[in-house]
Order: sequence, then C-alpha cells, then structure tokens
Amino acid sequence: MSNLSDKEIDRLSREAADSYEPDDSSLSWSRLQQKLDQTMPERPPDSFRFGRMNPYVWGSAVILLAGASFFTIKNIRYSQHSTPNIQTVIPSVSVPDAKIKNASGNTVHLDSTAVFQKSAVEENIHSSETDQKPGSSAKPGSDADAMQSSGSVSDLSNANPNKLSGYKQTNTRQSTKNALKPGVAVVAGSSLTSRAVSGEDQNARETNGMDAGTGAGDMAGSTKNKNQIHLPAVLTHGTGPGKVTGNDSLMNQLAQSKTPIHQKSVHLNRSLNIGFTFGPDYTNAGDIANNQIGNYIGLTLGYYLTDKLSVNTGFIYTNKFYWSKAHNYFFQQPRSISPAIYPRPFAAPPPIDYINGASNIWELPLTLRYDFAHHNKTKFFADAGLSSYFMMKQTYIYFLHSNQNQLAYKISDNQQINYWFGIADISAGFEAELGKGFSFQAEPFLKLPLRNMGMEDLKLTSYGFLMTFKYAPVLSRSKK
Amino acid sequence: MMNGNHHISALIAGCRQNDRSSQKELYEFLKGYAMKICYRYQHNQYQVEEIVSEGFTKFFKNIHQFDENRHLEITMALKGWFKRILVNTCIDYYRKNSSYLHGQKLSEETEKIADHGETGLDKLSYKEIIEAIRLLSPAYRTVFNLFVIEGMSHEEIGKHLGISVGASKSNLSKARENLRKILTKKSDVKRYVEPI
Repeated sequence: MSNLSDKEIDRLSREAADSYEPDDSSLSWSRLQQKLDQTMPERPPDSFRFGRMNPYVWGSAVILLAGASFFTIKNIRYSQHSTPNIQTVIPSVSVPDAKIKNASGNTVHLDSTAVFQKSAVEENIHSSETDQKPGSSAKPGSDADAMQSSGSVSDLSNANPNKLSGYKQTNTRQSTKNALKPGVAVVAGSSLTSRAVSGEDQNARETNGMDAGTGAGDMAGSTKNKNQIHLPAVLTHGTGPGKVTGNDSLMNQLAQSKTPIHQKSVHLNRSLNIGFTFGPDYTNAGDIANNQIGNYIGLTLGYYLTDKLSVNTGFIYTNKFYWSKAHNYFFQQPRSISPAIYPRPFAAPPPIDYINGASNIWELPLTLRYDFAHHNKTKFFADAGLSSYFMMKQTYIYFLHSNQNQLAYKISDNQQINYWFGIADISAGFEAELGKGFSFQAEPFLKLPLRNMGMEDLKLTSYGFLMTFKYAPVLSRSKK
Repeated sequence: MMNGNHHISALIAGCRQNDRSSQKELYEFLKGYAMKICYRYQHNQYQVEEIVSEGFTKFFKNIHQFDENRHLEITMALKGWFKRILVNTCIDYYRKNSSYLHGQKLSEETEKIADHGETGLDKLSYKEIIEAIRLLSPAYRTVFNLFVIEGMSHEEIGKHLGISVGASKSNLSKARENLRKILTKKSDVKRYVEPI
C-alpha cells in the first residue's frame, strides 16, 4: 500500500465520507435556538395567528366581507342620493285630500298621500265625479295654510278660477311666506318634477288638460272621463288660460338631473352570460388533511330562464391533490397499466399505510341558480346541481411497509375515465355588476361525491371558492 | 426516531410555521447528517459547528421551498436538499475566508498531525481518511470534497469558488498528492485494510 492511485484515493474518500459518522455531541439545540430567536423570532403561542388559518376559511371570509361591504356602501349611497326629496315631501302628506271643483261641477280629488306613497315614476290623482262639498276644499285660508306648512306638497286646484286663485305653488326650498296667488298651480317635489316632465304621453296630455284648467276650466273636458290623472310634477305659475310656465329652480334641477328625459326605456335582453372562472380547490379523500392546493380554471355559461332562475354550465379544468389512509381504498391493479411498468413485487396486497393522489380532471357542471336577493347592482344567489368528472390523468404514490422497511412507489394512469353526474354541487355567493354587461362573481363551493372515483375508488370531497368574471351580451332590444 | 414520511411531512409543516418543537425534532434528526458533511470541509471544530448552525438556519428559513409531494421518499429528498444547503454554506464560508486560507503546500503541522494519527490500530479507518482530508489546506480540501465526494465538475467548482478550471484541476491534483502522502505515511507503518 505504498502507492495509492488517484482512483483508490477517490474511492476510499467516498466510502469514508459515506460511512464515517463524526461525533456530533458538541452540537447543541440551545445554541441554534438562540440564533433562530434572533433571525426567525417565534410568534407568541397564544396570540391569534392569521397565517395558520386555512386559506379557504379566510379567503372565503375576505371575499364575502368585501361583497357585503360593497353592497352596504352602495346601498347607503343610493339612499343618500334618492331620498332627500322624499324626506321633505313625506311630512306634507298631512295635507288633507283636496277636492276641487271643475268647471262642470266635477271635483278633482287630490290624494296627496297616494302621490307620495307611490314611486316617483307615476303620481296619480284620482278624479271622480262627486258632489262638490263647499268648504271641503279650496279654502284659501285653511288649505293654503296647510300646504304652506307642509312646505313641499304639490297640490292642484283647478276649474274654479276663484278657488284656484287661492293657491300658490310651494316648494321645499321656498319660503312658506309666499302668499297664495291667483292662477298658480301647484308643484311637486323635484323628484316628481323630473319624472313628470320626462315626457310620458299620458302625462303630457294630462298636463295640458290641467294647464287649461288652471285658467278657463277646460280641464273638465280632459279629466271628466278619466279615473286617473297622472300628475305632472311641474304645473306651475299658470298666469293665464292655457299657459304653463315652469318653476325656475325645479327646471334647473331638472336640467341638472341625470334622469333620462325620454321615458321610453329600451329593455336589453342579457339572459345569456359567459364567464371566466378560477379559484383554489381543496380536495379531501380521507381523514388525512391535504397540504397542497389544487387549481380550478375554466369557462362558464349561464342562461336566465326567469328573472331569478338560471341554468348554468361550463367546462372547467381542475387538478386535485389528496391523501388517503389505507382503509379508504381498495388496492387493485389499475386497468390501464401494463404489468411491465406496474410493480407487483408482492404476492398478497401489502400493508399500505397511506396514498398520495393527484388527478387532472375536466369538469362539466350543470346547475340551477336562484337569485334570492337583488339590491342595486348586487345579486345574492344559491346554486345547486350536478357535475360530471372526466378524469384525464391519475397519479398515485403508495406508501407501504414491508419487513419494517418503508417503501413507496408511483403509478400513473393516463386513460380517461368519465363519471357522469358523479358529484353534487352546492355553492352560494354574490354577483356584482360592473357595468356594460360585465360582472364579478364570488362563491364558496362544496362538491360532494355521489360515487367512488378513480382507480383507487376514492370519494373526492372538494371545497374552495370561485371567482368569476362574466359578460352578458345583449341578445335583443325592446322598447317599453 | 422518524416514523416515516408522514411524520417528516408533519415536522416540515411545523417548521414552515416556525414551530420550535418541530424544528428541534428535525434538528435532532438531521444534525448527525449535517455534521458528517460539514466535518470534511473544515479542520477547526468550532468552525464546523458554526457552519452547521448556519446551514440549519438557512434550512429552516427556506423550508417552504421544499416540496415533499414531488418525491417518493421524503427523507431522502429532504436530506438531498439539506445537503445542497450545507455544501453551499461550506463554499460560502470558504469564499469568505479564502483571503487568508489559501495554502499550497502541506504544512508542517499537517504532517505532524498525520504522524500523530497513529493509534495503534493496524488498519486505515474511515476516520483516518476523513481526518487526512481535513488536514489538507482549505483550497485543496474544498476542491477535493467538491470534485471527489460531491461529484461536481471542474467548471462548476470554478464557478462556485471563483477560480479557473485550471486552478481547480491543479488544486485537485495537489490535494490527491498530499492526501497520498499522508495516507502512505500511515500505511507505511500500518497495513491498509479495506473496509467491509
């Protein structure tokens, strides 16, 4: 052994490196712990650890919280923008119904309560042929006082020039000091104004009739045979027969209003929607918690059968990772794997400890969705149905022990296996309109197995949450 | 004692959460392995402990990058991953201290220590071979470890250590020569017995 060759030196060195175990007693955990405490301080054990929560729990919570906040904020903003006039108008409801005698002796019954209890789109004034009750209406003194005190109620006096002359328009912003002046019709709040002037034909006709009535009692001709009169909101300063002038402030409000002038609305049929969906997938095939998250990505298609009920489908790709204990599956030879690549060193089924599976699946869901709430531009829905799984590839790693040795081996199966309607789908969530037919949808989901699947006959339970961007094209337009 | 892949997976999950008890258990499981690797790269015992400690710190910091689901045998995969960390830590340590660690010749002290290595045993043990490697100068020792034991190429060694391929080959040649000198001196008085 006087001359060792290079190869011998290398071989001896490798063997020594593999086999020699130096004394490690000098290594101490406490020294490393001190270092770890400096570089990676441990968080207090009793404190709340957000990072330790299941991502599906906090992920779903964040999305639902964001949706609820979005809905609440929008609702509040909507209320703030839409209620001021109503709030000022409502007190005026205390004004007693006015009955105004027209030229032919008919009385126009002004039900101001009804006017403000209804939406601002249509304000109805009931006219009926009733006997005039002297003193019950058009008392310049008492009625005018009442109206002035109300501050905003629009009222209408008509037909009897003498009595009409006792009224003056009052407005929320106008001082109640304004005296009743002859020839002044009444006006509603601004919200009514914008609607009424927006041009409904019927309203327009009625407006004309009312206008005429302000001066010369022509109203009889237009209202006599009608049970309802749509009150135009701007019936103002009629200074003479057949003449209508506007209230400046109200007209300004009208001009500034974003409300469409033309009330002939176009109805867009967006019953069909397509979407792009994605999200995490968490699959459990037994009692062992999976620590790897799968993906969920695909296209969706929905069609509204009614206003609230829609049918939905899609084509979604998902990969699932799961663990299972031995008792959850049957050890069987995969059908598609040739014996050459399928290791069967065991005469009898070996004691398998657990299994780690991964599957690539195309999913075809078919669900019915019901929108149980719709506020502003946010819909809340529940969805249920069945899904079909088309397993494209399965990979399993078997962990087993034999003679106290732990072994593992891997099997892959590329043969497609179809499971029609093998999964029950349940989900709920919200859909927020983004405008122009686009919307965003978030929904936690749960997929329950109706049958065993895969070459290991596992029940795959999946849950997670989906985020979907949708687009609803205009299928048709119709005028209403 | 590790009970298998599932237990290691649980420990890894705990380490990802910076759980000290999981870290301690994994440390106890791997410290012998870490010592075995780092011991070859350093002659000074204190520096070996420093490198092991640094390697474990890196290991715990980056354990989220280890994907145990991609491996059949998690323990083997984990050890392989940890070994890369340790070797890189040794290389880093060498590079940091290379300005004063370069030596080209077997020092007098080395030869003395080699001679002191006689233990009365009539064979070369693994311990003596490893100790002989440790007696090499840092530059030779590092190249020898990386080439012979870790299986790196001269190009990779040159890249890692910041030296040329020629320098790497030269250092390896000299390392072998010095190692042969050390082992031959031993074998002159003791007959080498191939380990079983």
